[in-house]
Amino acid sequence: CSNDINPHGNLPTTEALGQIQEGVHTRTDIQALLGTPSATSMFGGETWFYISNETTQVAFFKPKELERTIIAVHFDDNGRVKGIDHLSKDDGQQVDIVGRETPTRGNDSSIVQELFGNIGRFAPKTVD
Amino acid sequence: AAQSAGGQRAAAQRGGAFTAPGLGGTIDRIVIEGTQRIDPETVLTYMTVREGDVYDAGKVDRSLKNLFETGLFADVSMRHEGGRLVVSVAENPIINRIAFEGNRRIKDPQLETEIQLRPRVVYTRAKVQEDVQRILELYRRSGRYAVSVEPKVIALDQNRVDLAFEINEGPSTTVRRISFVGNKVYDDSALREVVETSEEAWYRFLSSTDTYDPDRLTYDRELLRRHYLKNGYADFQVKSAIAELSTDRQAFFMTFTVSEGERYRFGPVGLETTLAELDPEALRGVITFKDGDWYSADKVEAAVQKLTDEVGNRGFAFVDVKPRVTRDADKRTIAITFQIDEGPRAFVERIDINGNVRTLDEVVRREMMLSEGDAFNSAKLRRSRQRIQDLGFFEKVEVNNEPSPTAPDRTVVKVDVTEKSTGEVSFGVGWSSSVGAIIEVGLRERNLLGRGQDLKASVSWAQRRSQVDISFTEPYFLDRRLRAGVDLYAIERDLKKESSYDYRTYGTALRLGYNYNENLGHTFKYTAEFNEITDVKSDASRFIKNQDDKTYLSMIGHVLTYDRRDSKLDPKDGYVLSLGNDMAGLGGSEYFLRSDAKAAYYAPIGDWFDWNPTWGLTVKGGAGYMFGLGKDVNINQRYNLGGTNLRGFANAGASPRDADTDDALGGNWVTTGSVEVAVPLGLPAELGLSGRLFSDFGMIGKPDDFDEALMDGAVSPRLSAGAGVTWVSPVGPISVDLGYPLVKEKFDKTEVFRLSFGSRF
Amino acid sequence: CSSKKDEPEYVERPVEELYNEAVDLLNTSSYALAAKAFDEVERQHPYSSWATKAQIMSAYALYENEAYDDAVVAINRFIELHPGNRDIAYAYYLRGLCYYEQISDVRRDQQITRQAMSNLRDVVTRFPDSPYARDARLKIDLARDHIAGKEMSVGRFYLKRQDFLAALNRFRVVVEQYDQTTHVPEALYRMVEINTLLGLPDEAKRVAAVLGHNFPGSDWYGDAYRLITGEKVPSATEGAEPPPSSSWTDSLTGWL
Repeated sequence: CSNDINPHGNLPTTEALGQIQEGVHTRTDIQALLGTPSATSMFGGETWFYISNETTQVAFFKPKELERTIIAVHFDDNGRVKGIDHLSKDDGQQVDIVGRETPTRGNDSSIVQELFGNIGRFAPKTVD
Repeated sequence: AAQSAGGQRAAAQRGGAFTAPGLGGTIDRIVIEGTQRIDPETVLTYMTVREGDVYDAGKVDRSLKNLFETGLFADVSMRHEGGRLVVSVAENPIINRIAFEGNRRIKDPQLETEIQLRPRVVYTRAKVQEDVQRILELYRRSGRYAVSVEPKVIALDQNRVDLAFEINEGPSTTVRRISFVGNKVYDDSALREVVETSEEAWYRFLSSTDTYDPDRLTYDRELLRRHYLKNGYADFQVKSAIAELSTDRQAFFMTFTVSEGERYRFGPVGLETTLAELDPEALRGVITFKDGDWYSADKVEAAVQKLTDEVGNRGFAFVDVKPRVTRDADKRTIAITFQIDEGPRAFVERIDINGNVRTLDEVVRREMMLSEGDAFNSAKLRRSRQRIQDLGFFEKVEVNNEPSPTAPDRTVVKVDVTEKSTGEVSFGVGWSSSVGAIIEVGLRERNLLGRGQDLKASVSWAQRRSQVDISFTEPYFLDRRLRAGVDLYAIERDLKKESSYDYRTYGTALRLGYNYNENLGHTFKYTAEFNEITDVKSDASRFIKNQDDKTYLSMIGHVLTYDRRDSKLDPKDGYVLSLGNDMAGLGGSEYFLRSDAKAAYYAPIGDWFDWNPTWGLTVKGGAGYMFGLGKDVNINQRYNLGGTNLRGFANAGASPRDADTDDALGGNWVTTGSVEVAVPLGLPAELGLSGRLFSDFGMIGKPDDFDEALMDGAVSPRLSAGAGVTWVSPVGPISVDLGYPLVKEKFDKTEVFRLSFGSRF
Repeated sequence: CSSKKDEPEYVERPVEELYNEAVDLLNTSSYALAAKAFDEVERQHPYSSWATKAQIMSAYALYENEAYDDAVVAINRFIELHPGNRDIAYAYYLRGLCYYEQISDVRRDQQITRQAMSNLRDVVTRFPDSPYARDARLKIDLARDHIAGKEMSVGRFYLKRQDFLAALNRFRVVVEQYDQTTHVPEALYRMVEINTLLGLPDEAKRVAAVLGHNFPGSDWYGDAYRLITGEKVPSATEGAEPPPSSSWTDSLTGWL
């Protein structure tokens, strides 16, 4: 039973990365070379991130992240490439996701209405 | 519309002629005459002329047109007297009531929703004509072309009218004859099976395919093209498809002129790629045809899809497979080269799910093979669409993508679903040889609370069995692809005929199931059951009497299933294997180990040998083996042979039995087999009659407490053969089986005739 | 012509009597009958001044009866026939309410919410100083908050499945396009969470700083502060109980 590996996100090819010249290339060059960034840094935006990972899922176990590569392209003040970082899975830290959620309203129909409300309701109009 | 248009022209001239051009003059007051229901300010809001403006013929004309376009007025005219502009209007009447007469085939409510006019809406001649057309169109869609519709208007007081549509439906127009010109390879009757439109015939009173429908005609052309392409006729063309209406407008004559061309074979099959790290030859295994086979467009299409999936799986996110066809007319071969290139680099920006009014967003989203930010891959998109469709909650599922405004290499995936009713109330009545007359009531909701959960409750009473079942399944337990479920059941079974005792079972089961891949599934189950043997007949076999009447079963088990059938409901091709083991003894009073294996193989022999497609072969086999762990196996856990698993024998007819009381006692192991051939009866498919020939085989072992002297039981093969017919009647499927026991023991109980009919509606 | 069976038999009655009967029905909240009674007023006396009023009252009765689709049809007819009427502002407002009441749970299709917003925006643009505009603006914000809630629920879905990139962009949409809503603090916190998970500490710090600056008192900032500074150790600020770590079933299933 082959559990196939699913690639996610945008993984730029190694030779495209090789062509980046620091201090010369601007954002438009990087856009042409690597495509639109997966994410850009907030409230400043002088770093472009290309995030990608590979996950696999065996039977009923949780989807497991096999490996993750993040390429951060930093730009200096006049918009030229300042530096490139490569991050992988082990740079990440384990975090407990907080379970609390901001409440939203919107009527969630009652169980009984759900159970019987839907019988025949969507039945297509019959044209004899 | 003629009447009001005339009014408009006259008004314009009068207005124009009266005021000589160039006589400026300002308008100091606008007077509105003739309004009854509509308040004057409303008239003003539609006019571009205001008090105090300079008189301008263009603006006046513009206001005139606006007022007409509102459809509220039968006539509008404007007069310029001195400083005053007098606007006199005649309001269109209001419709009081609408009625239909003479409509038998299409009922009033349906006609009402089709037409635009409603009670209390403004009446205009133009809208009436439009509604007449709509009614005619509605009749044409249901195949009646000889219809005439006459609108009648009855004036009432206060400028109101009643509107009546007098409809004369006339006879229905059906397709009398479908003929083909230019077809040498397949004869007319074969091609009539291919197209969907069918000739009028007495038994087609239920179907609507014998009426003429232009869309279905174009669909028929497509069906013909696909049929020929599938069988290698690459040059096939439908020259023309015309339907002539008979003079009495009661019948259509359809003629398809086709040019078949020659039958082609596949030439050499090549694989080329510009992707650096991909070896094309490694993919050859995926292609299902080779040089010299008959050409088939379907096979080429399937190969393209398989190649895309295969290359996608090898980590190439962007793949684009194009078949390059070179046709050699005189050798009549078609060479194919699959060109595998890198597709356009595009990423999924967003996945928007629309139309899920009841179903939760995540129930659909978790079926998507792509998530946001991933590389766009059309093969995964197709498989996602299929998985959402397989949920069974949606009438229609459309997954398509459109370029995103934010960036050139980004696309937004749109998943539009139309939900269907997933709640079912079923009521069934039936009769079967094993349980007698049966009434069944069931309630099922397959998409409970829009969470994709399945809740079933069913109650059935039969002469010899009544049963209550409640079962709940969560397809995504703990947010994983893990099917968890709980069942509650109560069964009361009367086995007096077979073993002269009744028994009652109250039980619950917990289930956990998951799929390794498309075909291999595994389910674990824990069962807790209370069984009670009740009112044992006084003359029952002593072996039954000394069974302890109250038993508690606590059993854990699993079933591994490998399913390669083309469909679960009505399999025609493929096979399914399953192996299950159960162990009772985690507490409770029963201790045994039981293993069951089942296999079924389906072969569409009709297609293989080019006979009538209804020919089908089904071979089934099964074996079950159990033994007590330090305690004899209780009677109602044992296997039985005869009845449904061995036709030609009564229920448990071949099981070991008490020599003098003839009560069946069951055995510790059983093996069964059956070969069945579906036989075409040469009758039209609409009648729903299907025939079969079958031969069943079975052998059963002895119970633990077997006693040669007091029991009849033989570990010997039983064989039966017979024929059966099933008729899917409008009330429900009725099936009759006649089975003749060929090899049996003298003490076996046989039953040649078995009938069962059940209708669920 | 055949008269319809279910039609009340066609009795001519003076308009005031009919109208008052309908109003009484409305007050005793038998809305379906009230709607029918108002229709009868308009049908029998289409030209009386009561007819126009009856049309909008019938729509209101349908709205109270939660027959929203029929109410909208009645309102559209009123707007088409009486665009200049003095109750026109109320008609647009009532139509907005018809959609607003049908807003469903965030995890379902938000088409109705969008329709409610566009109708309520009609009220605000066409009749800015009418008594209904203020309530319409309030309801527009609540509807927008609701749509932001949907973005959040999809973001959490991807976060739970460890699709960090998908989750990050969803929370970013909330921060950038729904900045006035109640979901912004949580969206910012989730971005801090994801950036930490991905191993981008300075990005996490920058977002946490913005969260602290705009929402100092919120629990989300408390969590962010602990995540950034005290890692897992609860920070020294007195009385701040440790973040409620995800429910025990999640940790139970962690090792499964």
